Amino acid sequence: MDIVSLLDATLRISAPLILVGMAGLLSYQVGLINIALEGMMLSGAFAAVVFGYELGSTWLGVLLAAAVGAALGALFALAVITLRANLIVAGLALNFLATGGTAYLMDILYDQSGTLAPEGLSKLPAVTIPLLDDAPVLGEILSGHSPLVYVSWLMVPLTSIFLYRMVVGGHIRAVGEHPEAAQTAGISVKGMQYLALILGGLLCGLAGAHLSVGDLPLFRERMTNDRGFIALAAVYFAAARPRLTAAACLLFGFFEALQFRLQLRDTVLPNEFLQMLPYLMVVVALVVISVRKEWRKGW
Amino acid sequence: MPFLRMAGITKFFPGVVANQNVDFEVEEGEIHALVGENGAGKSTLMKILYGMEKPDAGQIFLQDRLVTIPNPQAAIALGIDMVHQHFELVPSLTVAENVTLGYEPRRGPFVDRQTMAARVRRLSEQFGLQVEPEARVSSLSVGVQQRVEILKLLYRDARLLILDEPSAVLTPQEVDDLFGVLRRLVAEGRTAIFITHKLREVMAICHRATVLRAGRAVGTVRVAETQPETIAQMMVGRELEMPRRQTSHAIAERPRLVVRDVHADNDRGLPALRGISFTVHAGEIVGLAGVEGNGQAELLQTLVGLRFPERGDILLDGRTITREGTRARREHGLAVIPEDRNRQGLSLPSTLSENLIATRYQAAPFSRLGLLVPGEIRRFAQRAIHAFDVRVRGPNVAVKTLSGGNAQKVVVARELAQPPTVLIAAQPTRGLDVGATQFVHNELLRLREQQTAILLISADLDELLALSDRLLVIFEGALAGELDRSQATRERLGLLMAGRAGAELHA
Amino acid sequence: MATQRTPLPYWLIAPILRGSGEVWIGVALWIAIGALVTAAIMQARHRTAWKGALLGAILGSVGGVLLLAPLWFGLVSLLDKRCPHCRKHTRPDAASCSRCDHAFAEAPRLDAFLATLTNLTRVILTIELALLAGGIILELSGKDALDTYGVLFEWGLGTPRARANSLLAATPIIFTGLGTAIAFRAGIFNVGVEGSLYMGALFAAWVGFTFTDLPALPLIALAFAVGAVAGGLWGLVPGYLKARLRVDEVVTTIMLNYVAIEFTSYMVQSGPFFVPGMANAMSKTVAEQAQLPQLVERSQLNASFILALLAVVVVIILMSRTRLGFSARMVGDNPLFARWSGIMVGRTILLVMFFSGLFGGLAGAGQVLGVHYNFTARFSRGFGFDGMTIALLGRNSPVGVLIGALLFGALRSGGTTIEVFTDVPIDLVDIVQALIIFFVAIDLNLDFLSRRRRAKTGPGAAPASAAA
Repeated sequence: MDIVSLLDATLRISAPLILVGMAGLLSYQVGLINIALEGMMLSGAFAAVVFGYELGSTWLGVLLAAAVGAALGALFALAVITLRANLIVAGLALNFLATGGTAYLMDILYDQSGTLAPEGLSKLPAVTIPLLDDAPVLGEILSGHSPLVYVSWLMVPLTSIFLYRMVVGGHIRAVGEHPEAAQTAGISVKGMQYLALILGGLLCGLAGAHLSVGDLPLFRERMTNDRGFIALAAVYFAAARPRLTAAACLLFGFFEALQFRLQLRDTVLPNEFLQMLPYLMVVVALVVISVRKEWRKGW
Repeated sequence: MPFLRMAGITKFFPGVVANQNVDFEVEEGEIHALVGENGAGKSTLMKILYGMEKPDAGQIFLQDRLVTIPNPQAAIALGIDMVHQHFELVPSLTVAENVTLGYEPRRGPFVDRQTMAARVRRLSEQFGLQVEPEARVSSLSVGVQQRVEILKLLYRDARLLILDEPSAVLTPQEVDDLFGVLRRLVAEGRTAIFITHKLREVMAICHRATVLRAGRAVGTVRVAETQPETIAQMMVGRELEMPRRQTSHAIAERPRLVVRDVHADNDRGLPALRGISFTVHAGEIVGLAGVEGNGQAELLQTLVGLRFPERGDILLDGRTITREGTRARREHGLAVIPEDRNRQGLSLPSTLSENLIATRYQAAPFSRLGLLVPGEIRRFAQRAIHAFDVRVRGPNVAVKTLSGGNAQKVVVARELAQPPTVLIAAQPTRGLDVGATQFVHNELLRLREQQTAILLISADLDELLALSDRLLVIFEGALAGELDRSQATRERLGLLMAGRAGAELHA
Repeated sequence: MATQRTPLPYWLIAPILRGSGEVWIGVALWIAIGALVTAAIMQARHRTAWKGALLGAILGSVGGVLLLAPLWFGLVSLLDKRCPHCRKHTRPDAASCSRCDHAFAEAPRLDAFLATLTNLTRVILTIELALLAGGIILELSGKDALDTYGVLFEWGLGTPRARANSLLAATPIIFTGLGTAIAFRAGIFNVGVEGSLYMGALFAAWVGFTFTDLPALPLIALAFAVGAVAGGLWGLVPGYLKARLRVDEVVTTIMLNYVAIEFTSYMVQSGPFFVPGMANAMSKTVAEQAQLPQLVERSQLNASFILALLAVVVVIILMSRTRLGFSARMVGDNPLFARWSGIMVGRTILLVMFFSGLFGGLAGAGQVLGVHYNFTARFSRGFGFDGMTIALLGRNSPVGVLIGALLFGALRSGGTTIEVFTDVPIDLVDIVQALIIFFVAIDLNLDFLSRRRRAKTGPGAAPASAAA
């Protein structure tokens, strides 16, 4: 097995996970479980292809994908915060809406079903980092990725700074942990929740764009393939700490890359166990957290 | 001119008058105690002052200037700020972040951490409130957390600080530290309102005290000129005199409930019961007096099986039940009228019938072979409604539609349906009118005739004096004293409740 | 998740309320219902051009309202209460006379009927709003809404075969809806019925292709039993975590769903149940005698539907007549009170989660034995989540779940054929479903329109329980 290509693939595959992870992280910090990450990502993927093709510029497609994601985030926020919808069910609804909506639009607009690969749509140009690219091993791994991969890396410290260095971020965290305290301090609880969900949607839109136009420029139905939930698992595993979440996303991306390569040969370790590992890890992490809490209380 | 004057404050909630025409004045530079039992209206009054509630009538004057306080931000802008009983601190934020929450020093969109820490440090030194600005609040002890809350108020430049039961969560040393801080604050011209139950503290630190009872202001006294028992008496008791009931039999010797050297912690891990011991015999009503917050709640939980003691034993009719769960205790004859009627004693969304059988649904006659018997349940419910004169349309109404008195009748009907071995009644007539109160008392006496052992926990001295054969006083988790019916007077009880354990038991 | 919510305003079930100003809303909604239903029926029967259908719809709706309204008003006013003292008519759900304050005697049957009526109206309205929204989307995309819905109607409910297929589609959802509703009623937000479904399916299939020497009835019974128990045990995992360690059940059940999906896929793709030579990831076929008999010709509707109906009855009995049902309801209504009353909350949680998973397992077993005759990896089309939706829609009541499942089944079943007979992609059904789910989530909560302001803080859901 070629380690270098494995690591290279890991970085590529974990990029959308990291972006969605940051989105899920923001929701967590503001006190809401965001099940709709999947749907927002899928919509972003679709939007990137459609707008990229219609407007003749893949970059514009990416931009609008982010906008679509943000709009869906706003819709979700409207349902859950203002209309007081059930959080989980509304998230599910959004996901189904995205799945059905993208497939429907694909048919209506382009008379295609299954896959949408418009002629003339080019994928995002690969970025080569000048000096690094020539380096023997690291060069192959780190350089030459789609720009959104590097964006995803950037998002981690950005999210960190946003949450922990900026006033707004502190307010978001306060709202998530102790809404009454935030309220009394004059912070708008609903405002912060809206903000977190909209920003999250934006990030999901970017993640989706990477999936579709960052690789082979096409959109396939359901192409997100539950990545939204894997990213959610990463968030819960890492208890919403940005760097740890990103690390978990890298790990899960690694699993996926590994599993793809293992599939091509007979191995002892079944693929499915790799695939279930993220979810199991979350359950274990939650159990550990609870046990520690009970321990402190003295059972 | 008083610094703060609240005039004619009235506040209604559905079914209850929280504040009735309350006048409340605070002088500048004083520490003013606001005392009263639960439900007396102190929290509501302060919530109105802090902008969390809107009064239905009345006005607020700050330095003789009429002000309106629509929300906490307005109060803070006026210099009025509050430390809640349940802290409003965000656990994963640092001390400095919490203190400055909502009013952070910024550099553009970014938090100016240096200035934040510097300001907090400066305040901390200025007022002798030792804190580490970068420490995470979740890692701090409760006493330090409280300091952070106070710092928050000072950062917002509060001139009038309201402290809601601040010492409830503190160790004695921390309480002394708190007092030091308060004295310092007051020395430099700030004012404090101190909501508390603990008379010892009222005496120790407050200049004046205002007593609220059942939504009305009973009076304001100068602490230096008043005895604590006077204040205790102002807090409890009713408008109506309760005649003493006649004892009709000699108390049997058979102990039904034995509590032996029980030590238990409260939810925060601090000791709430410190070696409390007493016995209740068959056919006896033992009254437990005490200012709220001295361990009654924890004692109740320990007796019911919702809290397990660190040390000590509890025996029911000779059987040790210390580690048994609630169901087992109830099956052995324990009945409870809980303190919080709506949350512990009833399920508001459920029907009358469901509430009535909730403690015994699992056995005959309500269940046979694992299935409920609706006929029996309905019959029982109808009998109960009739016997206890509950004003309802039928047994299938939701209990939340009932008035307070009727709801309590449901609780009583349920607990007394089968004559219990031991009945613990906690604040059984709180919030009830004369008729309902009379009814509950009659039931208690009836049970007493039937040899039930009754522990009556109440903040109402008149009630205790009227019904009890023996009176115990709980103070800081242990028994402060025991009085026989013949020896018990309001004065003596007041002394014991205030912690004056040296009170002599003879005239 | 207690079933107690603000009841729908009376004006929705009795459009004319004496002196009420909200009349027009109710009337408008009923006109819309009339229009839609009339149009769909007309379209299905006569397939007229859409203009004609529209006209027919208008006429039909007017006629429908004219016909229905008096009937409806008449019916409702029959239910009105009449004060014996002052003879004033009052609405049937009033507790006392509005003029003389005389308290009316309790009328449990009437109250129950009104409650059912309110819930039914809510269900109808939710679905109807979703269909309306879907119709708008169709029109905007240049498709013929009436035509589409006509086909949907015909292929969902029009022919006996269609009806049978609708019942077939409804079967697994009845089970999962029941399973979810049980948990919701006890205040447990169990999203994990999907996982239990997979476990139940896998193990039922295993019984089916392993114990092939058994005769039909014992084999079928064993398969269902094992599937049910497998699902129940799977539900015990998050149940134990919640009861003993206080781990929040929402996230754990979501995660465990995926664990179950992957585990069961493994079993047939590379694990012990792998069948070499098969292109797809599926297990051995279950024994012939284990394959459930069909109920109707030319449809795969099978005996598991009967079992599903039985399950509804069982759950009704379970929740209203058993001790567990009682303690579950009490825990759902007020867990603190439950503890004070001696109810063993931890044990209740465990048992409830077991039964919740059990019904999920039955859903899976039913699919295996009645439809696929084997276990295929990832076969479920979201039956578990559909179940959650109808549990909410049906207010956690077993009958409500049944009705919701039948509606969903018709929608799904009819939807699969839309693509064949119209030029509308099947995904429209997904969209309509999503809209239904969305409206269910909002719960037609029009409180934000009312002048009373709600609490200032937000919904404040995760990481703790996300129950609305």
